[in-house]
Amino acid sequence: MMTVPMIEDGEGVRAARARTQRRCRIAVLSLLGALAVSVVMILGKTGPGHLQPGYAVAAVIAMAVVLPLAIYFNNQAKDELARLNALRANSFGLYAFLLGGWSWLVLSNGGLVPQPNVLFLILATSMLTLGRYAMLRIRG
Amino acid sequence: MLRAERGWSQLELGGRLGVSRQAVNAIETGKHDPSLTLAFRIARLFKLGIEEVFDDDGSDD
Repeated sequence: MMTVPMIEDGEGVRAARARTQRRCRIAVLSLLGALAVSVVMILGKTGPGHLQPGYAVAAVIAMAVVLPLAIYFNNQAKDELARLNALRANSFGLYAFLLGGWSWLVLSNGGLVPQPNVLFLILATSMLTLGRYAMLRIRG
Repeated sequence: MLRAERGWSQLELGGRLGVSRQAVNAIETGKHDPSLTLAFRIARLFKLGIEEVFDDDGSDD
């Protein structure tokens, strides 16, 4: 049987590397944004009146613009398998959020646990979503 | 295998198709059924008909 030597650095490999670099740039920017928001949320005081109204409105507008743009560009850079895996992971995260939040609320109404903490729920389900996505990627 | 006949790695083929190496691997191992758009792109790349590249294994999944 005739064997054909593998092309080490063809146009496809170069294109794949360029795609990876583009995705890395988007991922780094998204992570920096998420980190900045997390730091502000962790270090800053929370609750009504702790934020200047103008700053709060500006932050919401910035978030409303930046987040959809980050999601859009991230989706554009993904291939169909990655998009499908993201969809599966997001569905998993949504179910976890709804089920976890509802269970926590019912248990707290029964006096068994403290009132639900929305920030904790969001962070926990985000971690679960990321974990699920990583699992899907590793499995192939 | 069509890819190996051309001496292409999974990364090389993925780059030519605009998908990741993981996607190529998932298609080759039958873990992922490509979309119609991607299936046509693959067939065009290999200059073959779509039914020459893919066959139905009879499962509904």
